[in-house]
Amino acid sequence: MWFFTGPKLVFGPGSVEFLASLNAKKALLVCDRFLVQSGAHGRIVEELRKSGAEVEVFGEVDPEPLVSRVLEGVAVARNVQPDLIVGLGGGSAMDVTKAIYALYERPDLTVYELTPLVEMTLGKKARLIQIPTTSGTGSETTWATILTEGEGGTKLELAHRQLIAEWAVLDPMLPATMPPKLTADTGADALCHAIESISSEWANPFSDAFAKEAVQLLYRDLPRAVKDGQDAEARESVHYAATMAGLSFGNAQVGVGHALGHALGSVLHVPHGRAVGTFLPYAIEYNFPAAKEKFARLAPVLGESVVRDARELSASVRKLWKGIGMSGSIREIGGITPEAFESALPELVTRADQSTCVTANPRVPSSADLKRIFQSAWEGKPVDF
Amino acid sequence: MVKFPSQEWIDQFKELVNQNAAYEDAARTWEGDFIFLVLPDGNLTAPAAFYLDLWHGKCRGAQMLSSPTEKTADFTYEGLYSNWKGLIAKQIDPIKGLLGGKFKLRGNMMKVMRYTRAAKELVETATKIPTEYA
Repeated sequence: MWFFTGPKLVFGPGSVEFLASLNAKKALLVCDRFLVQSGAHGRIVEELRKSGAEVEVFGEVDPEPLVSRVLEGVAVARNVQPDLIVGLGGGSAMDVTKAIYALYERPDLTVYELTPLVEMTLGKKARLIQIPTTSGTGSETTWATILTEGEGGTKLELAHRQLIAEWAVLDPMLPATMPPKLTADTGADALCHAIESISSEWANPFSDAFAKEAVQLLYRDLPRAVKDGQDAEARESVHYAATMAGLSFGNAQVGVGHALGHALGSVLHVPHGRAVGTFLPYAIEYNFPAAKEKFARLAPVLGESVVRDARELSASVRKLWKGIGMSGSIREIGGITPEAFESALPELVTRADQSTCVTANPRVPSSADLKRIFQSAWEGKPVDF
Repeated sequence: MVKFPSQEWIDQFKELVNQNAAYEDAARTWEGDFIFLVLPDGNLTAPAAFYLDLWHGKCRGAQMLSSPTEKTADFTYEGLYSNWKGLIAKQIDPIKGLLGGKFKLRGNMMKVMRYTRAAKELVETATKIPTEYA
């Protein structure tokens, strides 16, 4: 027995107008700090006000959000008493929104209790809506929230099915202003979600269907969206592909590439999409011996000869990465000296080893395996063990 | 063949856990004891419980309890007898079993989720015991 869960979707250019139909009395908008600074959140506030709602904005979310930021947001929510909570932004903003929503609904819980084993029914005080402004995280569809314990601290990989939004609003106009590098990083994250979920031990026919479509769209349209951010067709395609990939991994799990990426992100402060994207070819090579038949499901999308050979499959990702400016190795990311990498390696291995992302990985990585993958990814050498 | 649940079964489990290098690696920083609670269904008519003292990749002690309340532990992993059979046969994944409601865990879930590889290795160990059921 397994499940396939996700939010209801409203999509298309101008779909933020849907917010005006929600009949809320008090809305709390949780968003990235830079959206407030640029005024980009104004359109959302306007639509919420059209619904008759008083709108309070908690626009304090930074990248790699800390638990302390969530607690600030919870205090605002308890003061405002919203009947609608809206997350707006990238993965950080939407993850923070989920945690604020849960702790507002259940003041008896701590953030550390947002695990699948806690029985909770949310939605008694407020409805939850998520609006992604980037195309990659998939957080608008999932029940996971990634928070950081403290500056430089461990990433908490929290999850509960009740954290899934009632609606995800997919307006492809919102990511239209993303710069090329952010488009590449977030799109790479989406491709990682799709490919890691299709090779997951928990993959299922429904997650596979979304993963395959996401891979097809991202291979075709991500380079266009990176090259020309004003290419509306490519933007729309990549935006929906990211949500499809989110629906896929949200119901099948990611894998060792995300475990390695979370470790690199938290220890050496590499942005999430860049980190997991860098590891994807190495994760494919590592997992291939244990997941040949799973990867073969991508044959209709990538071609039989590509998916039947680990090196061919990883090479196809490396070729895509080269076209969008994604790093081919940790060294290529820049800003990390060999000494800093060597010094951080034990901690990187420990954090990857303790990541929930390896739970459903098709090949169970030992700590020695993780160290060798990190070293391969540093050097830019294919994984051959 | 070794009957499950029994003291003989948990003795073999302890011995095999302590020979499992992959478990030792995965659980090298683990500190915490477990009660595995087998709830009756099918041919098992009364609950059975095992106590396991797991520490830094080794099993320091294993005991079948006379009753589920004989000892307390940091964690309790419980499920129906039929689900334990599914787990030992590798038909049920230990973590997916939790998320799907076939098993319940009492204890610090955050801590356990950092050691899912160790949990898999414990199940892998259990599959190596030639087990017969009630």
